[in-house]
Amino acid sequence: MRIREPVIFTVFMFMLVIVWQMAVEIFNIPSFFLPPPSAIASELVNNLDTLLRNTYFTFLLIVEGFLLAVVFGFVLGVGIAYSWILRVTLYPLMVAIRSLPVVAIAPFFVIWVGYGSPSILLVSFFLAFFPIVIASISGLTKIDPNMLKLMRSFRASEWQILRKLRFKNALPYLFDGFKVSITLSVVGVVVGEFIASSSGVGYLVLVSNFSLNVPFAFASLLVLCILALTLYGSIVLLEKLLIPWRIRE
Amino acid sequence: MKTGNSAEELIEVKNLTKVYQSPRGDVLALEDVSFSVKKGEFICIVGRSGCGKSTLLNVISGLIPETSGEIRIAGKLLKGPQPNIGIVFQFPVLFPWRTVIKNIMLPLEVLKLGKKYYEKIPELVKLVGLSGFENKYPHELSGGMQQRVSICMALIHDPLLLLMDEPFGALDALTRYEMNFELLRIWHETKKTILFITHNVEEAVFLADRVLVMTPRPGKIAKEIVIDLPRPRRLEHREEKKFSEYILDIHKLLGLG
Ligand SMILES: Nc1ncnc2c1ncn2[C@@H]1O[C@H](COP(=O)(O)OP(=O)(O)O)[C@@H](O)[C@H]1O
Ligand SMILES: [Mg+2]
Repeated sequence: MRIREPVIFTVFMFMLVIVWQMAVEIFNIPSFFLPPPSAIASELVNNLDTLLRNTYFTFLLIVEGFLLAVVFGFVLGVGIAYSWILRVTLYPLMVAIRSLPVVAIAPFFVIWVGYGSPSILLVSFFLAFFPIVIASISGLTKIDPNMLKLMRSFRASEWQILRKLRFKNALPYLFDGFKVSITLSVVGVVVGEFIASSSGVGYLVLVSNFSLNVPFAFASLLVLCILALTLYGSIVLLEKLLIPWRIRE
Repeated sequence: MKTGNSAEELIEVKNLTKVYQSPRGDVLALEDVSFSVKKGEFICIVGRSGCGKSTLLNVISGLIPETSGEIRIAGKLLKGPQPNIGIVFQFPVLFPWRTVIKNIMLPLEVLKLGKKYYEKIPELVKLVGLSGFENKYPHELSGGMQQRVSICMALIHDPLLLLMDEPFGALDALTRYEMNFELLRIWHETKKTILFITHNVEEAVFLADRVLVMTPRPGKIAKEIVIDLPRPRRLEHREEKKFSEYILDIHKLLGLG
Protein backbone atom coordinates (compact mmCIF):
# COMPACT_ATOMS: atom_id res chain seq x y z
CA MET A 1 0.00 0.00 0.00
CA ARG A 2 2.65 2.50 1.15
CA ILE A 3 5.04 1.67 -1.69
CA ARG A 4 2.36 1.23 -4.33
CA GLU A 5 0.76 4.66 -4.08
CA PRO A 6 3.83 6.74 -5.05
CA VAL A 7 4.61 4.24 -7.81
CA ILE A 8 1.11 4.59 -9.25
CA PHE A 9 1.40 8.37 -9.03
CA THR A 10 4.75 8.38 -10.83
CA VAL A 11 3.42 6.20 -13.63
CA PHE A 12 0.38 8.45 -13.90
CA MET A 13 2.54 11.59 -14.18
CA PHE A 14 4.76 9.91 -16.72
CA MET A 15 1.77 9.02 -18.86
CA LEU A 16 0.32 12.50 -18.49
CA VAL A 17 3.56 14.03 -19.78
CA ILE A 18 3.61 11.66 -22.79
CA VAL A 19 -0.02 12.37 -23.66
CA TRP A 20 0.64 16.11 -23.29
CA GLN A 21 3.71 15.92 -25.56
CA MET A 22 1.85 13.91 -28.18
CA ALA A 23 -1.22 16.14 -28.08
CA VAL A 24 0.89 19.25 -28.63
CA GLU A 25 2.62 17.62 -31.62
CA ILE A 26 -0.46 16.01 -33.18
CA PHE A 27 -2.71 19.07 -32.90
CA ASN A 28 0.12 21.49 -33.66
CA ILE A 29 -0.60 23.57 -30.59
CA PRO A 30 1.51 26.75 -30.61
CA SER A 31 4.09 26.96 -27.86
CA PHE A 32 2.82 30.29 -26.45
CA PHE A 33 -0.57 28.62 -25.91
CA LEU A 34 0.62 25.37 -24.36
CA PRO A 35 4.32 24.52 -24.52
CA PRO A 36 5.28 20.83 -24.88
CA PRO A 37 7.03 19.16 -21.92
CA SER A 38 10.19 18.82 -24.01
CA ALA A 39 10.40 22.61 -24.45
CA ILE A 40 9.80 23.16 -20.74
CA ALA A 41 12.51 20.66 -19.89
CA SER A 42 15.04 22.25 -22.21
CA GLU A 43 14.29 25.72 -20.73
CA LEU A 44 14.74 24.22 -17.30
CA VAL A 45 18.13 22.77 -18.16
CA ASN A 46 19.40 25.77 -20.13
CA ASN A 47 18.43 28.30 -17.50
CA LEU A 48 19.07 26.22 -14.41
CA ASP A 49 21.44 28.81 -13.01
CA THR A 50 18.97 31.70 -13.29
CA LEU A 51 16.16 29.54 -11.96
CA LEU A 52 18.11 28.37 -8.94
CA ARG A 53 19.32 31.88 -8.07
CA ASN A 54 15.78 33.25 -8.19
CA THR A 55 14.38 30.24 -6.39
CA TYR A 56 16.79 30.87 -3.54
CA PHE A 57 15.64 34.50 -3.37
CA THR A 58 12.00 33.38 -3.25
CA PHE A 59 12.72 30.57 -0.80
CA LEU A 60 14.34 32.93 1.71
CA LEU A 61 11.43 35.36 1.57
CA ILE A 62 8.87 32.56 2.01
CA VAL A 63 10.68 31.19 5.05
CA GLU A 64 11.24 34.64 6.55
CA GLY A 65 7.61 35.65 6.07
CA PHE A 66 6.49 32.37 7.54
CA LEU A 67 8.78 32.61 10.56
CA LEU A 68 7.75 36.20 11.26
CA ALA A 69 4.13 35.09 11.08
CA VAL A 70 4.79 32.20 13.45
CA VAL A 71 6.52 34.33 16.06
CA PHE A 72 4.17 37.30 16.03
CA GLY A 73 1.06 35.17 15.43
CA PHE A 74 1.81 32.97 18.41
CA VAL A 75 2.55 35.90 20.70
CA LEU A 76 -0.70 37.59 19.70
CA GLY A 77 -2.50 34.25 20.09
CA VAL A 78 -1.26 33.92 23.68
CA GLY A 79 -2.31 37.52 24.31
CA ILE A 80 -5.80 37.00 22.95
CA ALA A 81 -6.19 33.65 24.74
CA TYR A 82 -5.41 35.30 28.08
CA SER A 83 -6.67 38.83 27.74
CA TRP A 84 -10.31 39.72 27.54
CA ILE A 85 -9.53 43.24 26.36
CA LEU A 86 -7.43 42.01 23.42
CA ARG A 87 -10.19 39.57 22.55
CA VAL A 88 -12.72 42.38 22.10
CA THR A 89 -10.36 44.89 20.46
CA LEU A 90 -7.48 43.43 18.43
CA TYR A 91 -9.25 40.22 17.49
CA PRO A 92 -12.22 41.78 15.65
CA LEU A 93 -9.87 44.35 14.06
CA MET A 94 -7.73 41.48 12.81
CA VAL A 95 -10.75 39.69 11.37
CA ALA A 96 -11.80 42.88 9.60
CA ILE A 97 -8.37 43.47 8.06
CA ARG A 98 -8.19 39.84 7.08
CA SER A 99 -11.32 40.21 4.96
CA LEU A 100 -9.44 42.57 2.59
CA PRO A 101 -8.07 40.97 -0.59
CA VAL A 102 -4.30 41.11 -0.39
CA VAL A 103 -3.85 42.48 -3.92
CA ALA A 104 -5.98 45.48 -2.93
CA ILE A 105 -3.69 46.54 -0.12
CA ALA A 106 -0.31 45.30 -1.36
CA PRO A 107 0.29 48.59 -3.27
CA PHE A 108 0.12 50.40 0.09
CA PHE A 109 2.79 48.08 1.45
CA VAL A 110 5.08 49.31 -1.32
CA ILE A 111 4.39 52.89 -0.26
CA TRP A 112 4.93 52.13 3.42
CA VAL A 113 7.98 49.90 3.45
CA GLY A 114 9.45 50.38 -0.02
CA TYR A 115 9.91 48.42 -3.21
CA GLY A 116 11.48 44.95 -3.16
CA SER A 117 12.07 42.52 -0.32
CA PRO A 118 10.44 44.54 2.50
CA SER A 119 7.06 44.76 0.79
CA ILE A 120 7.23 41.17 -0.48
CA LEU A 121 7.91 40.08 3.07
CA LEU A 122 5.01 42.14 4.31
CA VAL A 123 2.57 40.58 1.80
CA SER A 124 3.72 37.11 2.81
CA PHE A 125 3.47 37.99 6.50
CA PHE A 126 0.02 39.50 5.98
CA LEU A 127 -1.30 36.22 4.56
CA ALA A 128 0.59 33.80 6.78
CA PHE A 129 -0.08 35.60 10.08
CA PHE A 130 -3.82 35.00 10.58
CA PRO A 131 -3.86 31.20 10.45
CA ILE A 132 -1.18 31.14 13.15
CA VAL A 133 -3.16 33.47 15.41
CA ILE A 134 -6.30 31.39 15.00
CA ALA A 135 -4.42 28.11 15.55
CA SER A 136 -2.73 29.51 18.66
CA ILE A 137 -5.98 30.71 20.17
CA SER A 138 -7.70 27.37 19.50
CA GLY A 139 -4.77 25.32 20.73
CA LEU A 140 -4.34 27.29 23.94
CA THR A 141 -8.01 27.43 24.85
CA LYS A 142 -9.65 24.25 23.52
CA ILE A 143 -8.53 22.14 26.43
CA ASP A 144 -10.22 19.10 27.91
CA PRO A 145 -11.88 20.53 31.05
CA ASN A 146 -10.87 17.38 32.91
CA MET A 147 -7.21 18.12 32.27
CA LEU A 148 -7.66 21.58 33.73
CA LYS A 149 -9.47 20.02 36.67
CA LEU A 150 -6.58 17.61 37.17
CA MET A 151 -4.06 20.45 37.12
CA ARG A 152 -6.15 22.49 39.55
CA SER A 153 -6.43 19.51 41.88
CA PHE A 154 -2.63 19.74 42.22
CA ARG A 155 -2.93 23.49 42.75
CA ALA A 156 -1.03 24.20 39.55
CA SER A 157 -0.21 27.86 38.90
CA GLU A 158 -1.38 29.45 35.64
CA TRP A 159 2.25 29.46 34.52
CA GLN A 160 2.47 25.69 35.12
CA ILE A 161 -0.82 25.18 33.28
CA LEU A 162 0.50 27.25 30.36
CA ARG A 163 3.78 25.38 30.17
CA LYS A 164 2.71 21.85 30.88
CA LEU A 165 -0.78 21.86 29.38
CA ARG A 166 -1.68 24.73 27.06
CA PHE A 167 1.54 24.82 25.01
CA LYS A 168 1.52 21.06 24.45
CA ASN A 169 -2.17 21.07 23.67
CA ALA A 170 -1.54 23.80 21.11
CA LEU A 171 1.11 21.88 19.15
CA PRO A 172 -1.20 19.86 16.84
CA TYR A 173 -3.33 22.97 16.22
CA LEU A 174 -0.18 24.97 15.49
CA PHE A 175 1.03 22.45 12.95
CA ASP A 176 -2.31 22.58 11.16
CA GLY A 177 -1.85 26.35 11.18
CA PHE A 178 1.73 26.02 9.89
CA LYS A 179 0.55 23.99 6.91
CA VAL A 180 -1.98 26.61 5.89
CA SER A 181 0.47 29.38 6.67
CA ILE A 182 3.41 28.09 4.62
CA THR A 183 1.14 27.67 1.60
CA LEU A 184 -0.14 31.21 2.04
CA SER A 185 3.39 32.49 2.50
CA VAL A 186 4.25 31.07 -0.94
CA VAL A 187 1.21 32.83 -2.42
CA GLY A 188 2.18 36.04 -0.61
CA VAL A 189 5.76 36.05 -1.88
CA VAL A 190 4.70 35.37 -5.48
CA VAL A 191 2.06 38.11 -5.33
CA GLY A 192 4.67 40.40 -3.78
CA GLU A 193 7.14 39.60 -6.54
CA PHE A 194 4.49 40.31 -9.18
CA ILE A 195 3.94 43.73 -7.66
CA ALA A 196 7.25 44.90 -6.29
CA SER A 197 10.25 42.92 -7.41
CA SER A 198 12.89 42.41 -10.06
CA SER A 199 13.94 38.99 -8.89
CA GLY A 200 12.40 35.78 -7.62
CA VAL A 201 10.44 32.98 -9.25
CA GLY A 202 7.26 35.07 -9.28
CA TYR A 203 9.09 37.80 -11.18
CA LEU A 204 10.43 35.23 -13.69
CA VAL A 205 6.90 33.95 -14.36
CA LEU A 206 5.70 37.51 -14.87
CA VAL A 207 8.43 38.67 -17.28
CA SER A 208 8.48 35.46 -19.30
CA ASN A 209 4.71 35.80 -19.73
CA PHE A 210 5.14 39.36 -20.98
CA SER A 211 7.84 38.31 -23.41
CA LEU A 212 5.72 35.32 -24.50
CA ASN A 213 8.47 32.95 -23.41
CA VAL A 214 5.81 30.56 -22.18
CA PRO A 215 8.05 27.45 -21.93
CA PHE A 216 10.28 29.35 -19.51
CA ALA A 217 7.23 30.56 -17.55
CA PHE A 218 6.14 26.94 -17.23
CA ALA A 219 9.63 25.90 -16.13
CA SER A 220 9.49 28.61 -13.45
CA LEU A 221 6.07 27.39 -12.32
CA LEU A 222 7.40 23.85 -12.10
CA VAL A 223 10.25 25.03 -9.87
CA LEU A 224 7.79 26.99 -7.74
CA CYS A 225 5.61 23.92 -7.38
CA ILE A 226 8.57 21.81 -6.25
CA LEU A 227 9.63 24.52 -3.79
CA ALA A 228 6.15 24.80 -2.28
CA LEU A 229 5.79 21.04 -1.94
CA THR A 230 9.21 20.73 -0.34
CA LEU A 231 8.37 23.38 2.24
CA TYR A 232 5.00 21.78 2.98
CA GLY A 233 6.64 18.38 3.23
CA SER A 234 9.23 19.67 5.69
CA ILE A 235 6.46 20.82 7.98
CA VAL A 236 4.70 17.47 7.78
CA LEU A 237 8.01 15.78 8.57
CA LEU A 238 8.69 18.11 11.50
CA GLU A 239 5.20 17.41 12.79
CA LYS A 240 5.84 13.66 12.75
CA LEU A 241 9.06 14.20 14.70
CA LEU A 242 7.66 16.64 17.26
CA ILE A 243 4.21 15.13 17.84
CA PRO A 244 4.75 11.39 18.06
CA TRP A 245 1.58 11.08 20.15
CA ARG A 246 -0.69 12.46 17.43
CA ILE A 247 -3.00 9.65 16.41
CA ARG A 248 -3.24 9.39 12.65
CA GLU A 249 -6.34 8.28 10.89
CA MET B 1 -8.77 17.65 75.13
CA LYS B 2 -9.53 15.45 72.17
CA THR B 3 -12.87 13.82 71.73
CA GLY B 4 -12.82 10.06 71.58
CA ASN B 5 -12.51 9.30 67.89
CA SER B 6 -11.86 12.62 66.14
CA ALA B 7 -8.16 11.76 66.02
CA GLU B 8 -8.78 8.93 63.61
CA GLU B 9 -11.48 10.61 61.53
CA LEU B 10 -9.84 11.51 58.25
CA ILE B 11 -12.90 13.07 56.64
CA GLU B 12 -15.60 14.87 58.55
CA VAL B 13 -18.48 16.25 56.53
CA LYS B 14 -21.03 18.30 58.48
CA ASN B 15 -24.36 19.64 57.20
CA LEU B 16 -22.97 20.01 53.72
CA THR B 17 -25.26 21.75 51.24
CA LYS B 18 -24.47 22.58 47.65
CA VAL B 19 -26.60 24.75 45.41
CA TYR B 20 -25.64 25.23 41.77
CA GLN B 21 -26.64 28.61 40.45
CA SER B 22 -27.58 28.45 36.81
CA PRO B 23 -29.51 30.76 34.46
CA ARG B 24 -32.39 28.28 34.44
CA GLY B 25 -32.71 28.47 38.22
CA ASP B 26 -30.92 27.04 41.21
CA VAL B 27 -30.24 23.32 41.58
CA LEU B 28 -30.09 21.94 45.08
CA ALA B 29 -27.54 19.18 44.46
CA LEU B 30 -26.71 18.26 48.05
CA GLU B 31 -28.75 18.91 51.16
CA ASP B 32 -27.51 18.55 54.69
CA VAL B 33 -25.06 15.75 54.05
CA SER B 34 -23.12 14.57 57.08
CA PHE B 35 -20.80 11.61 57.48
CA SER B 36 -17.31 10.80 58.52
CA VAL B 37 -14.63 8.44 57.33
CA LYS B 38 -11.96 6.89 59.51
CA LYS B 39 -8.36 6.60 58.50
CA GLY B 40 -7.83 3.46 56.44
CA GLU B 41 -11.49 2.85 55.68
CA PHE B 42 -12.88 1.91 52.29
CA ILE B 43 -16.15 3.77 51.84
CA CYS B 44 -18.43 3.48 48.84
CA ILE B 45 -21.12 5.92 47.90
CA VAL B 46 -23.88 4.53 45.69
CA GLY B 47 -26.76 6.30 44.06
CA ARG B 48 -28.51 6.71 40.77
CA SER B 49 -26.96 8.99 38.27
CA GLY B 50 -27.80 12.63 38.88
CA CYS B 51 -28.20 12.19 42.65
CA GLY B 52 -25.19 14.36 43.45
CA LYS B 53 -22.34 11.86 43.83
CA SER B 54 -19.87 13.72 41.65
CA THR B 55 -20.86 16.98 43.29
CA LEU B 56 -20.07 15.51 46.68
CA LEU B 57 -16.69 14.28 45.49
CA ASN B 58 -15.84 17.56 43.80
CA VAL B 59 -16.66 19.49 46.96
CA ILE B 60 -14.61 17.12 49.14
CA SER B 61 -11.69 17.44 46.73
CA GLY B 62 -11.86 21.22 47.09
CA LEU B 63 -12.44 21.72 43.36
CA ILE B 64 -15.82 23.39 43.83
CA PRO B 65 -16.89 25.39 46.88
CA GLU B 66 -19.64 24.28 49.22
CA THR B 67 -22.70 26.47 49.73
CA SER B 68 -22.89 25.80 53.46
CA GLY B 69 -21.65 23.32 56.00
CA GLU B 70 -18.07 22.28 56.53
CA ILE B 71 -15.54 19.67 55.56
CA ARG B 72 -12.49 18.73 57.55
CA ILE B 73 -9.69 16.60 56.20
CA ALA B 74 -7.35 15.28 58.90
CA GLY B 75 -8.88 17.83 61.26
CA LYS B 76 -8.18 20.81 59.01
CA LEU B 77 -10.98 22.86 57.50
CA LEU B 78 -10.95 22.34 53.74
CA LYS B 79 -10.34 25.42 51.60
CA GLY B 80 -9.57 24.53 47.99
CA PRO B 81 -7.62 21.60 46.58
CA GLN B 82 -5.01 20.13 48.83
CA PRO B 83 -2.07 17.84 48.20
CA ASN B 84 -3.03 15.15 50.68
CA ILE B 85 -5.81 14.07 48.34
CA GLY B 86 -5.47 11.98 45.18
CA ILE B 87 -8.32 11.92 42.67
CA VAL B 88 -9.29 9.36 40.04
CA PHE B 89 -11.96 10.52 37.60
CA GLN B 90 -14.48 8.42 35.68
CA PHE B 91 -12.49 8.67 32.48
CA PRO B 92 -8.72 8.47 32.73
CA VAL B 93 -7.29 11.97 32.49
CA LEU B 94 -3.89 11.52 30.90
CA PHE B 95 -1.81 13.93 28.89
CA PRO B 96 -1.56 12.34 25.43
CA TRP B 97 1.86 13.92 24.80
CA ARG B 98 3.38 12.27 27.84
CA THR B 99 4.39 8.65 28.12
CA VAL B 100 3.04 6.60 31.03
CA ILE B 101 6.07 7.33 33.20
CA LYS B 102 5.97 11.06 32.38
CA ASN B 103 2.27 11.21 33.19
CA ILE B 104 3.00 9.63 36.54
CA MET B 105 5.64 12.30 37.17
CA LEU B 106 3.23 15.16 36.43
CA PRO B 107 1.85 15.51 39.99
CA LEU B 108 5.39 15.52 41.37
CA GLU B 109 6.46 18.23 38.93
CA VAL B 110 3.44 20.41 39.64
CA LEU B 111 3.69 19.97 43.40
CA LYS B 112 7.49 20.46 43.16
CA LEU B 113 8.20 17.36 45.22
CA GLY B 114 11.69 16.03 45.76
CA LYS B 115 13.84 13.11 44.75
CA LYS B 116 12.44 10.80 47.38
CA TYR B 117 9.11 10.71 45.52
CA TYR B 118 10.72 9.98 42.16
CA GLU B 119 12.61 7.08 43.70
CA LYS B 120 9.32 5.45 44.66
CA ILE B 121 7.97 5.46 41.11
CA PRO B 122 9.22 1.98 40.06
CA GLU B 123 7.70 0.41 43.15
CA LEU B 124 4.34 2.07 42.57
CA VAL B 125 4.38 1.24 38.85
CA LYS B 126 4.82 -2.39 39.82
CA LEU B 127 2.11 -2.18 42.48
CA VAL B 128 -0.53 -0.92 40.03
CA GLY B 129 0.54 -3.44 37.40
CA LEU B 130 2.10 -1.14 34.83
CA SER B 131 5.54 -2.72 34.60
CA GLY B 132 6.68 -2.84 30.98
CA PHE B 133 4.30 -0.06 29.92
CA GLU B 134 6.39 2.85 31.22
CA ASN B 135 7.32 4.22 27.81
CA LYS B 136 4.00 3.75 26.05
CA TYR B 137 1.78 6.65 25.12
CA PRO B 138 -1.76 6.68 26.58
CA HIS B 139 -3.38 5.98 23.20
CA GLU B 140 -1.42 2.74 23.03
CA LEU B 141 -3.13 1.45 26.20
CA SER B 142 -6.52 -0.14 26.82
CA GLY B 143 -9.09 1.65 28.99
CA GLY B 144 -8.22 -0.52 31.97
CA MET B 145 -4.50 0.14 31.64
CA GLN B 146 -5.15 3.86 31.26
CA GLN B 147 -7.13 3.84 34.49
CA ARG B 148 -4.22 2.10 36.20
CA VAL B 149 -2.05 5.05 35.17
CA SER B 150 -4.62 7.42 36.66
CA ILE B 151 -4.58 5.47 39.91
CA CYS B 152 -0.80 5.62 39.92
CA MET B 153 -0.96 9.41 39.38
CA ALA B 154 -3.39 9.75 42.27
CA LEU B 155 -1.04 7.84 44.58
CA ILE B 156 2.38 9.10 43.55
CA HIS B 157 2.45 12.13 45.86
CA ASP B 158 1.54 9.84 48.75
CA PRO B 159 -1.80 11.39 49.74
CA LEU B 160 -3.76 10.24 52.78
CA LEU B 161 -7.00 10.04 50.90
CA LEU B 162 -7.99 8.63 47.53
CA LEU B 163 -11.19 9.97 45.96
CA MET B 164 -12.56 7.91 43.07
CA ASP B 165 -15.53 8.93 40.93
CA GLU B 166 -16.93 5.87 39.14
CA PRO B 167 -13.40 4.98 38.04
CA PHE B 168 -14.37 1.66 36.47
CA GLY B 169 -17.74 2.75 35.10
CA ALA B 170 -16.47 2.86 31.52
CA LEU B 171 -14.85 -0.59 31.61
CA ASP B 172 -16.37 -3.87 30.50
CA ALA B 173 -17.63 -6.16 33.30
CA LEU B 174 -14.65 -8.52 33.33
CA THR B 175 -12.08 -5.74 33.37
CA ARG B 176 -14.09 -4.06 36.12
CA TYR B 177 -13.93 -7.22 38.29
CA GLU B 178 -10.22 -7.40 37.64
CA MET B 179 -9.75 -3.76 38.59
CA ASN B 180 -11.83 -4.27 41.75
CA PHE B 181 -9.39 -6.90 42.93
CA GLU B 182 -6.43 -4.77 41.94
CA LEU B 183 -7.80 -1.81 43.84
CA LEU B 184 -8.37 -3.88 46.96
CA ARG B 185 -4.81 -5.16 46.73
CA ILE B 186 -3.47 -1.61 46.31
CA TRP B 187 -5.58 -0.44 49.22
CA HIS B 188 -4.27 -3.27 51.34
CA GLU B 189 -0.65 -2.52 50.53
CA THR B 190 -0.77 1.26 50.72
CA LYS B 191 -3.24 1.53 53.63
CA LYS B 192 -4.86 4.58 52.06
CA THR B 193 -8.31 5.79 52.92
CA ILE B 194 -10.60 5.43 49.92
CA LEU B 195 -13.85 7.18 49.10
CA PHE B 196 -15.23 5.39 46.07
CA ILE B 197 -18.25 6.47 44.09
CA THR B 198 -20.22 4.08 41.93
CA HIS B 199 -23.72 3.48 40.63
CA ASN B 200 -23.02 -0.23 40.66
CA VAL B 201 -24.46 -1.70 43.85
CA GLU B 202 -22.59 -5.01 43.59
CA GLU B 203 -19.32 -3.23 43.14
CA ALA B 204 -20.00 -1.07 46.20
CA VAL B 205 -20.86 -4.03 48.43
CA PHE B 206 -17.89 -6.02 47.20
CA LEU B 207 -15.38 -3.25 47.89
CA ALA B 208 -16.59 -1.35 50.90
CA ASP B 209 -16.37 -1.41 54.67
CA ARG B 210 -19.41 0.82 54.66
CA VAL B 211 -21.76 1.82 51.88
CA LEU B 212 -23.43 5.24 51.96
CA VAL B 213 -26.64 5.15 49.96
CA MET B 214 -27.61 8.42 48.30
CA THR B 215 -31.06 9.44 47.13
CA PRO B 216 -31.73 12.23 44.64
CA ARG B 217 -33.45 15.61 44.49
CA PRO B 218 -32.05 16.87 46.73
CA GLY B 219 -29.00 14.65 47.12
CA LYS B 220 -28.98 13.12 50.58
CA ILE B 221 -27.46 10.19 52.34
CA ALA B 222 -30.43 7.92 52.98
CA LYS B 223 -28.62 5.24 54.92
CA GLU B 224 -25.29 3.87 55.89
CA ILE B 225 -24.79 0.11 55.61
CA VAL B 226 -21.90 -1.64 57.29
CA ILE B 227 -20.66 -4.49 55.11
CA ASP B 228 -19.73 -7.30 57.38
CA LEU B 229 -17.84 -9.55 55.00
CA PRO B 230 -14.37 -10.91 55.69
CA ARG B 231 -11.20 -9.46 54.18
CA PRO B 232 -9.52 -10.03 51.87
CA ARG B 233 -12.60 -10.13 49.67
CA ARG B 234 -12.82 -13.02 47.27
CA LEU B 235 -15.00 -13.99 44.35
CA GLU B 236 -16.83 -16.54 46.55
CA HIS B 237 -18.11 -13.74 48.78
CA ARG B 238 -20.36 -12.70 45.93
CA GLU B 239 -22.17 -16.03 46.29
CA GLU B 240 -22.88 -15.61 50.00
CA LYS B 241 -26.39 -15.00 51.27
CA LYS B 242 -25.27 -11.90 53.16
CA PHE B 243 -23.92 -10.40 49.95
CA SER B 244 -27.22 -10.66 48.13
CA GLU B 245 -29.09 -9.39 51.18
CA TYR B 246 -26.98 -6.23 51.21
CA ILE B 247 -27.66 -5.77 47.56
CA LEU B 248 -31.39 -6.23 48.01
CA ASP B 249 -31.42 -3.75 50.92
CA ILE B 250 -29.63 -1.15 48.88
CA HIS B 251 -31.82 -1.68 45.83
CA LYS B 252 -34.84 -1.09 48.05
CA LEU B 253 -33.32 2.11 49.42
CA LEU B 254 -32.74 3.23 45.84
CA GLY B 255 -36.43 2.76 45.14
CA LEU B 256 -36.36 -0.49 43.20
CA GLY B 257 -38.87 -3.13 44.25
N1 LIG C 1 -22.26 22.77 37.12
C1 LIG C 1 -23.55 22.47 37.35
N2 LIG C 1 -24.50 23.43 37.23
C2 LIG C 1 -25.80 23.15 37.47
N3 LIG C 1 -26.26 21.95 37.84
C3 LIG C 1 -25.37 20.94 37.97
C4 LIG C 1 -23.97 21.15 37.73
N4 LIG C 1 -23.33 19.98 37.96
C5 LIG C 1 -24.28 19.09 38.30
N5 LIG C 1 -25.51 19.66 38.33
C6 LIG C 1 -26.77 19.00 38.71
O1 LIG C 1 -26.61 18.52 40.02
C7 LIG C 1 -27.20 17.24 40.14
C8 LIG C 1 -26.17 16.24 40.62
O2 LIG C 1 -25.19 16.04 39.61
P1 LIG C 1 -23.94 15.08 39.82
O3 LIG C 1 -23.28 15.44 41.10
O4 LIG C 1 -23.12 15.13 38.60
O5 LIG C 1 -24.65 13.65 39.94
P2 LIG C 1 -24.05 12.18 39.81
O6 LIG C 1 -22.57 12.26 39.82
O7 LIG C 1 -24.62 11.44 40.97
O8 LIG C 1 -24.57 11.61 38.52
C9 LIG C 1 -27.77 16.89 38.79
O9 LIG C 1 -29.15 17.17 38.80
C10 LIG C 1 -27.05 17.80 37.85
O10 LIG C 1 -27.87 18.14 36.75
MG1 LIG D 1 -21.15 11.54 38.36
